[in-house]
Amino acid sequence: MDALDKKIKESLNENARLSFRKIAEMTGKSTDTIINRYNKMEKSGYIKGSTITLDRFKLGFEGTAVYQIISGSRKNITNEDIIDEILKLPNVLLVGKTIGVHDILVLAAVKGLIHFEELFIKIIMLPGVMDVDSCYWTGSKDVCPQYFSL
Amino acid sequence: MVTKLLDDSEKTIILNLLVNARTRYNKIADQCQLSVSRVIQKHKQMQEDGIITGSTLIQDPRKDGKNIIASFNIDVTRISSLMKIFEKMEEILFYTHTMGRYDIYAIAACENLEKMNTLIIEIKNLAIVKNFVTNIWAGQYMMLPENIEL
Repeated sequence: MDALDKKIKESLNENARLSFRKIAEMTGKSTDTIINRYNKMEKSGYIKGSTITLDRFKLGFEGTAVYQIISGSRKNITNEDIIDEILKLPNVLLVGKTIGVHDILVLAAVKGLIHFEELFIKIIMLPGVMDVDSCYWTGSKDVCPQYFSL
Repeated sequence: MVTKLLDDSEKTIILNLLVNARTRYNKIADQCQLSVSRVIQKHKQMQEDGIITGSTLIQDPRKDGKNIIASFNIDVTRISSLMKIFEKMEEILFYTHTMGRYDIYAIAACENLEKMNTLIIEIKNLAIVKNFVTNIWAGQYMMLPENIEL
């Protein structure tokens, strides 16, 4: 990535809706050059997409919850099976497999402590889930949206 | 907490932009059955109301040299002291005080496993740290920003 690629990325990290024409004006390059560079970065995986950030608190979500799952209660159920079920739960915003004490990580937007508890119960009751460590924070703090869309 | 109730078209605008912040207004307008200018107006209004707080590109952390991502769950004797230390650590992408099983939840990223181990040891050795649980993120994680129930 050269200086122009970095400038394009920086500009779009500040405002993902910025037009390629505007970036071209800012950098003194042609719009076609900017579009080509953007497409290249997308193709090579530097850019995975774009998103907006929300003040979830204003939309009724008091906080964010982390559920860290220990799997293995049933031999015939894999972590992928558990993840498939978790993906069906509303307000789950990020899911991934982990190595360490826990096997699966889940981040979710929660409306309050009751909702936090409800989601905990739904997750711990899933077949194959042995235990869940959970924690919760209030407010609408972004979780590094440029990497986690959250 | 004052919750902003969104109408159907506002929800459609947000959900489209969560998946792709560069979605064309005319595509959203078709879905909402509104004029493009009305969609732009509603988008701007949600920005002014602080519901939409920004937008960003989504990038692959590995392309930025952050090949190893880990979650840290930490119990400490003094929460504010560790928060101050984390503020200065460039490997720490996110940290917050939490309620629940642990005092602090953090996400860190390093170039390789060796550097992650060094970081973990550095944090573990802090006198204020009572308990430290790490999970290394394995492979790709799934982001589901559109899974939020508006």
